[in-house]
Amino acid sequence: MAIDSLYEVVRPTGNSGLREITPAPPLAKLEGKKIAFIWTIFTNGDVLADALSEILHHRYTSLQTVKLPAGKKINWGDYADESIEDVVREAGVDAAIVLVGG
Amino acid sequence: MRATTWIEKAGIPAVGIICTGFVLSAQAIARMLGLLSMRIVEYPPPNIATQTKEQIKGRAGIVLDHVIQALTQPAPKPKMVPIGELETRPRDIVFKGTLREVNDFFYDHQWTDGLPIIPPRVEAVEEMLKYTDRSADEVLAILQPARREATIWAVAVNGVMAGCSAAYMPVLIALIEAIAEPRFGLQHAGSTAGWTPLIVLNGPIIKELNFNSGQGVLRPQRKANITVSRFLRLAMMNLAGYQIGTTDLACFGTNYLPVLAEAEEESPYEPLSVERGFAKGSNVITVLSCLSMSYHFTSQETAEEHLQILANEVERELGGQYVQVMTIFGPDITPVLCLSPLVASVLANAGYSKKDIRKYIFEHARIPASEFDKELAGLWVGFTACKAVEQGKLPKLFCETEDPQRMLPVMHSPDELLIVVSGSATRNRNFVSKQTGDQGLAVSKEIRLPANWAYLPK
Repeated sequence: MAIDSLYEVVRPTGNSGLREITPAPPLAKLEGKKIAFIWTIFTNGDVLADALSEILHHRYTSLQTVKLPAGKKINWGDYADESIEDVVREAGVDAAIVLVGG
Repeated sequence: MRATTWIEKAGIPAVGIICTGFVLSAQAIARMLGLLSMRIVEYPPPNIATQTKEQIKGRAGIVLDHVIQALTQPAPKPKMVPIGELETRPRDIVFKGTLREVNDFFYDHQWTDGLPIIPPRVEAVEEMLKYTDRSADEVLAILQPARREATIWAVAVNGVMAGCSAAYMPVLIALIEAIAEPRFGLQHAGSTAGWTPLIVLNGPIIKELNFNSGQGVLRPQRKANITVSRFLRLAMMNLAGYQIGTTDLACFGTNYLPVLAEAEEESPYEPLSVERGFAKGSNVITVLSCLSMSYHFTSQETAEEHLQILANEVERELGGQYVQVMTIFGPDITPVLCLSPLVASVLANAGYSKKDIRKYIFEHARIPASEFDKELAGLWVGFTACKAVEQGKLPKLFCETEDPQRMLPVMHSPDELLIVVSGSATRNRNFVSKQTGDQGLAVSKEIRLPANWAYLPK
C-alpha cells in the first residue's frame, strides 16, 4: 500500500461503563457535627489529621471527631477500600476529611 | 482519593486533602469512578512528607479554612465533559487520512505510545476476530481506573495498532482477562512507583507463534514478544485509561518489557504454569508488576555456591527499601527469579527442585531487624517489623523476639518467589524482578484457542 493511501480508522477506546455519582449536599454548619478523619496512606497524613482535629475542637466546642480506617478489616493509614462507604455510614458521621500523606 | 468518592457516594460530604501536583490525578480518578465534582483542598508545596511536625502544624490553620469552606458549600461545578458524551459506536469511522495523518490524529488524542501504529481499519480488526470464537461485542471486563468496557472488538483494535499478527488474538484476550482480575490491582498501575507489567508465557503456543524464549528474550526484536507487550501498554492507555500526568503518576516509569517466554524445552524444571496449577501443555499467560530488574551472574562450580549467590542477590534486591512494599502493599508479593537454562541445570543436576531453591533462598536471603526497621521508619516514625506483625501486615516470624540483630527474611514465605527459566541456554546469568505487592500481583490465565485454530494460518 502506498504511503499516501487513505486509511479509514476506528477508535481504540472502550465505551464507558460508569454511572455518575451525585455529590453529597454540603453541611449548613459544623457545630454539633461528627467529622471523620481518614488517613489513606503515606507519610505525615496522620500528623496533619491530628493538627486539624486540634484546631477544629478549639473552634467548634460541640463538634465531635473520630478517626476511621479507610475500609473494613484494614488499619488507620492503609490504602482505601470501597467498603469505606459502609464504614462511614455505620459510624454515623456527618462529613469526612480524607488525607493522603506524601 | 478513591476514598473521597466512595464517601460522597454514601451521601456524606467528603473533602480530600492532597499535595500539590496530585490534583489533576485526583480529579481524573474521581471522574473515572463517576464523581465529576470533587471537594479538594491542596496542601501547598513542598510535599508534606518532607516537612516536620511543627511545619505541618503551622500550616494546618490555613488548610482547615479551605476544608471548612469545601464542606459547607456545594461541590464545585464540573468543568468536565459528561461521561459518555463523546463516545461513538465502535465501528464508526473516526478519521480518514494518510498513514502520517492517522498517526498524528491518534497521537493528538493520546491513543498511542508515541511510536507509529498500524491504522486500525475495520478490515484489519475483522482479520483479528477470525482468531477467536467469541463475539466482537462481548465485554471481557470493565477496566479500572477509567472503567471502560474492554470488548473483544476493542482488544482487536489495539492489537492491530500494536502491530500484532492476527494469530496473537487469543493471547491478547487472555492478557486482558488477567489484568482485569481484582488480584492484579490494575487500579494501582498509575502509582508514582512507575511499575510496568511483566508478561510470562508458557505452552506450545510459544513455538507455534514464534515467541523468543532464548537469547535476548527481553530485547525488542522478535515480533511476537514485543508487539504483544506493546498491545498491553496501548490497552492500559485506551481501555483502562492510563495517561501520564493524570491517571499515571509514575515518577520515572518503565518502558514495556517484551514477553518473557519460558525456555520449556531447555529447562530441567516444570514450567511456571504447571506450578500455578495448570495442566502440562496448556497455553498460559502470567502477568505481574515489575518495578526493576537486577543484573547478576553466577560463576561458581557447585550448586550450593550458585544458590548462595542467588540468595545474596535476592537479599540485595528485596532487602533494601523494598521491605516497605512487602509490609504495606497487601499480604503477598510475587517477585520473579529468572534463571538461565544453564544455571537451572546446575541446580537440577545436584538434586535441587524449585521448592528446594525457594527454601534455600528464603532461609539465606535475610537482613538484620535493625535494617528492616530503619526502612519501615521511612514510612512513618516508629513503624517497625513488630508493629507490622501486631497490625497483621507481616507474619509472626518477623517478631519472634525484639532483638535488633535477629535476621529477617525479605519475603513473607518461600512460596512467593516465582521461578522462571529463560534466556540464553549457555550463559550463567539470572535476574530478580521486584514486584509491587497488591499493585500487580501475579495472575495467570489459560489462553483459549478457537475451535478451528489448527486450520488458521499463523
